[in-house]
This record gives sequence, C-alpha cells and structure tokens, in this order.
Amino acid sequence: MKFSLFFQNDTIAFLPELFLAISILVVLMHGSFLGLSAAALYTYLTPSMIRLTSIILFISAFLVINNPIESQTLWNSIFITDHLSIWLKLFVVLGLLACVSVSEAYMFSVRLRAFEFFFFIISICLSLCLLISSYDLLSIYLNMEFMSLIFYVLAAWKKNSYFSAEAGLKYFILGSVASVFFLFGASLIYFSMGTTNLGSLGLLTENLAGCSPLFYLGLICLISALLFKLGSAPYHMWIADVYEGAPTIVSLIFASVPKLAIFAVVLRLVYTSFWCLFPVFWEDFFCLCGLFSLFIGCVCGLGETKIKRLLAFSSVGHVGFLCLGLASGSVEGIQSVLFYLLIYMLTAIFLWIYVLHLDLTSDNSFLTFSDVIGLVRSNPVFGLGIALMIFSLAGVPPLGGFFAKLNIFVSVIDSSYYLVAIFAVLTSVVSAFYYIRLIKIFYFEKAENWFYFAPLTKGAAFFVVTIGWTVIFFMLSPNLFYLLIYKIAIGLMI
Amino acid sequence: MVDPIIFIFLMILGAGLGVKVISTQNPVYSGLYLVLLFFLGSAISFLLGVEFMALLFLLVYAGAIAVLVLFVVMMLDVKAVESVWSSGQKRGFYISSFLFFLCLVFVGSSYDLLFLLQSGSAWIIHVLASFNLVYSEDNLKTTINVLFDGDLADFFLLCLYNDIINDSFLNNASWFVNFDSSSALNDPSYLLYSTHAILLIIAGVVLLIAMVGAISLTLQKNCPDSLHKQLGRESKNAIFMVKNKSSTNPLNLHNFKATSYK
Repeated sequence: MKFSLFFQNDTIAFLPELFLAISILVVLMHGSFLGLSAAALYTYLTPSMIRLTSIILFISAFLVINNPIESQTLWNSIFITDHLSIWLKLFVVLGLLACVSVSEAYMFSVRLRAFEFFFFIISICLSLCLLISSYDLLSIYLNMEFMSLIFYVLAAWKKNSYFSAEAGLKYFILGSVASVFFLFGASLIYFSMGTTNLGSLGLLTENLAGCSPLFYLGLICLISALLFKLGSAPYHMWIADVYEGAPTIVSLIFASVPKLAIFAVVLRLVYTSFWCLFPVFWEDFFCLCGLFSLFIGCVCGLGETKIKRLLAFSSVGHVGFLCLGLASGSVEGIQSVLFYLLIYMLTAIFLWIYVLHLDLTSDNSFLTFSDVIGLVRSNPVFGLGIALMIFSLAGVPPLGGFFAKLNIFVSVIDSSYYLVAIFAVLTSVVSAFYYIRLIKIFYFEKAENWFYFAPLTKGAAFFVVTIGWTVIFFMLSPNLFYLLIYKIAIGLMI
Repeated sequence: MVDPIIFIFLMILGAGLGVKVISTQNPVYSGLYLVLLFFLGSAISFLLGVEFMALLFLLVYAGAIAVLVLFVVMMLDVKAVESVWSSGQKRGFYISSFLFFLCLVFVGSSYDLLFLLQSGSAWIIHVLASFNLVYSEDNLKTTINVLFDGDLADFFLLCLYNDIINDSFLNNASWFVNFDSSSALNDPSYLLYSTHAILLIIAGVVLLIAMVGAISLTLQKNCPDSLHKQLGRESKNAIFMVKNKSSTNPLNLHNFKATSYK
C-alpha cells in the first residue's frame, strides 16, 4: 500500500536531526537506568558513553551525506536544505566526533563523571545542524537559544572550580542579553517587512527605494547579536574569561564547532535575504567589525601569558579576518570565508587537543607558559607538529593557514579595499609575534626541573595526525577543498 | 478601546499594589502582592483584546517569575518584621468580615437583590463610562461596546442583559458566524500546530535540555576520589608516573617512581 505523509520530504531531509533527537533520548535513558541499582550507584559510564556517542555521530555523518532531497525549503519554509547546509553539517559532525574521541583521558583525570556531558554533546550536534538549515528568523532564534543554553550549562560544568562558575555565569548573562537583542531586531524587521522568512525578506527588499530607520535598527541588533555569539569585537569581552574558566574539553568544543553554524546563519542573512543592502550597510559594518577584531586580537594577545586566553584572543583575530572576507561582497569572498572557517576549525581542534594534553599533567588550575616548556624533549614529533600548526595559524606559507589568509586578501583587494588590506597585513604581522613566541618557548627555553608529559591517547593521536597531515601537506592537493568550497558557495548564491 | 476612566482606575489600583510590594516588611507578602500585580497586568491585556497575551501573562509571570521570586526568598534569609494587630483591631476585622459574608449570602440567595446588584453595577459602569446619570438601554449597550472589544463586549452584555438571548443560537439563523470565528485565543494555536509545528517540537527539546542541565549542574553525587580511580582503572592506565613535588635538587630524575595504584 503506498501512501505519503504531509511532511514526508521534510522528514526524509531531516533524517540526521531526527536520528540525533531520538539518540539523545536513548543516551539519557541508557545513562539513567544503568546507574540505578544500589550496587551500580557509582558506575563509571564514561568509556561506554564515549563509544556510544562516537557511533551516533558517525552514523549521523553518513545520514548527512546521503541526503536524497534536492535543494529546497522544508517545513513550511522554516528550514532549508542545500549544499551549504549539507557540507557544513558534515564538518560540524566530524568536528564533534573529534572532540568526543579525545575526551576520555581528560574526563578521567579531571573527575568529570556525569554522563549527561555526552547527552549535551549530541544535543549540540542537533542544535548546530538545525541552526545551519534555518531559513526563518524564528527558527534561527530558537536554535541559537538551544545551542547557547547547552553551552551555558557546559561552561559551568566543574562544580568545585570558581573559574568554571564565573565562566558559566558570565556567558549566561551576556549571551542571554545578546539573544534578547536578536529577538528585538527580529521583531523590528517583522514590524517593517511583515514576514520573518529569509527568502521572502530577500524578495521584499529587492528594489528598495528607502527603508524605515526601524528596519536598520532591527538589522543592526540582529547582526550584533550574531557577532556577539561569534566573539568578534566590539562584543569580544566574554571570550577570554569563558575560554579560560570552562573545562578544557568544553573550550575545545566552543572553539571549533559553533562558528561554522553561526557563520552559516550570517551568510544566509547577508547574501540571501538582505543582499540589496550590501553597499549601504553591510560592507561598512563588516569592515569596521573586522578591523576592530583584528586590532583587539593582536593587541590583547600580546600581553597574555595564559595559554587558553591567548588562544581565545587569537580566535577574535581570526573572526576579524572572516568579517573582512564577508565585507568583500563577491563570490570569492564567500569562498574565502568558508575555506578559512574549515582550516580554522581544523587548526583549532589540533591546538586545543594540545592544550587538553597539557592540562592533564598541569599543577595549577590555569595553564601558563611555564607548562609549555619541554614538550619537544619528551615528544619531538608532536612538538614539530604543533610548531607547524602555529605557523599555519600565523599565516606562514606553504601551510594551510597561509592559503586561507591569501584567499581572504585576494577577495578584499578584489573589492578595492586597499587600506583595509594593508591594516590587516600589519595586524597579522604583529599577532605573529605571540605565535612565534610560543614556538620559541617550546624549543629554546630551559627550566630547572624536568617536566613530564603523558603520552597521547589513541583517539587524540588519530585526530592529531589526520589534521596535521591535512593542514601541513595542504598544498600537495588543494583541489579537494577548493572544489568543495566552490560548490558550496555557488549553492548559496543561487 | 478602553475608556480613560477605567484605565485610570486600574492604574491607581496597580500603583497601590506596586507600592504595597515594596513597602511591606514581609518578603513573602511582597511576592504575593507581585502576583496580584501580574493578575492586574493580565486583566489589562484582556481589556485590550489580546487574550492570548493575557493568558501568557498568567502562565509566564505568575507561573515562572513568581516562582523565581519564591526561590530567591527561600535562598536569602530575610527577617520579616511584622506589626502585630491589637485585640481591638482583630475584633473589628472579624466582625466586619462576618457581616460582609452574611451580606453576600443574603444577596446571593435572593433574586430581587441579585437583580438590584446587577442593575446597580451596570449603572455605576455606565456613569463612569459615559458621564451620564440617565440610564437607558441602548446607551448602556453602546457604552459597553465602546469600552470593551468585540467578544468581550458580547460577554458583558450576556451577563447583564437577558434579552440578548433573543439573538441566541436557537433563534438566529446565522449562528455559525458567531460560532466559528477565530479570536486572539485560537489564532496562535492554529498556526503553532500547523505551520510552525516543527518549532513547537524543537521548543520541547529545548525544555528537555534545560531540565537535564539544571539537574546535572546541581545534583550532588559525591564519589570519593579513590573509588573513582578504582572504577576507571583499565590496563592502559593501571601503571602511571607520579610527580614528586617535594624535591630540592635540580636534576631529580631519581625522584620519579613508577607506581601501581594500591
């Protein structure tokens, strides 16, 4: 008997999200009922949870790739499926798979026993997948709140640490205010346009003679809230404290995956729905934010001695580069932004795995430069890999990060922003100082005591090697990434 | 829309309640006055014709935010300084409340007094609304229609007037027009369950993670450190190096020892 449901295509296109939603219930039940009997009250669930979560993420990666639905809007135009959403979802799932696989040793040594951590990781995957496919201001807000709520809880996970409580509280209060601004901006846009659907907004603003000032105010509030979540200046104040205070595995998740999803939202807003405003509003706004972020990233990073805060400020600088790529307004701009996002995600996972590895054997509650000394003597290949990764972050050829920055500069100069490009180069040079200072400390500092570093676990070693090969030997076969990024960018523009 | 006199009356009531919230010495009383204030806000929303917003006021404000106030009062140890009434005041309060309830029972059980009460209250509202002491039928109808919005005006007219029954469903041929119209209450629900159904489902998942997050952050399960290390021991971490912090010589290679956990 053949029949079709009302939302049949939509359900098929949302199979990964459906699978993730059912699996969070399964994980919750599994964890709750396994530790129920009195003899099993302190069951150590983390290894079994890690394997279960890895399997779930692996299967959902396959579900994401094998999406049989053509590019169309789903669920009454609230969600959309196109190339951008499919490939960014794949990157998000693979990034979270990396985060889960490296977490076992850290969670054992820091005594993070609760199994709900993995429930939250799968929920992060679900919320980011939903956010990437969002096509309506309502669904963007709901999924952004979904993601942010999980991150607030994760940032405050360590119960006996003041840093963690501070990080969670700061992130919660500031992030909630940002979401409020998003909602206010969305309501103003609805007030002036009459619809919240991104496609309809694009059609309505196509030949705009003049907009009401409330519309501009709404747009500013909207995009400011999204830039807040990314951590670009002038909304960067929370990043350093939250990355510092949260448990290192949570900072690894913060630094790697949410930027993909929020940048997908920003790309859809800028290039699909409010494209006509580009010469009026977007290019100035993103140029200003990009330049300010680069400046903050390079100046504040110079004075930092704590590793996690250093990486936080460097991420502010990278978001500045991404904003500049957005400001250029061409297809090359989108391609450079997506490519930079991919390379940045890989590099961030690598470096935060390294910080996680340091945190296993550190004495203090925060990591400073003194913890970094001596890695090269105990694990020289890993030290070489980290040094090359830091060179990639600074933009030294022929590593992957250089090509990312090259693409951004090409698109910026292509749009004739010469002064902006010169400023970006200068801040890039200044920020290279604190990257190379790290390498100097690795190789040339001597200390009185011998230091001990634990060997890398199997999951961490697998991902470190894979990412290292991808980024360091990038120039041998760049076509795979470039062709993929071109396909995604053109899919967005159509 | 709402007549200014009614609005001013409600605002004075609201201001009085607000002053009571902050002037009372007992924190629980001030929370209760806050709930009354929320009821007032809900009533104003009803008057404006946005019934969905009015019910949301009750659900969100009185249901969630008042409970938040309750939790804060529970956490903070605020001393309530109460002024005790004297016995004369107590006697007066009991007698006056007894008389009031006696009047209520008396009036409620007699039809003539009920009718008198109804026409008296209708006259008061009419006087306040139209500044007109003369009391005529369609005068009252027009004032009520002016005061309140469509459905709510019909509700009041139905309460106060029996001859509205002439327009009822038995005698009126086009009753389905009155029956099947959408109002501010069922319009959002039509949309929420059909067009935006997926958002409702996602909102449910958000509620789930909020609950799990609150529980996992606050529920204390104290597992001793030794038990944790025993339970998590596998073959690959059974033997590990321990850093000895109490060493004074610079090359303290021999201070490292390989231990297996006892």
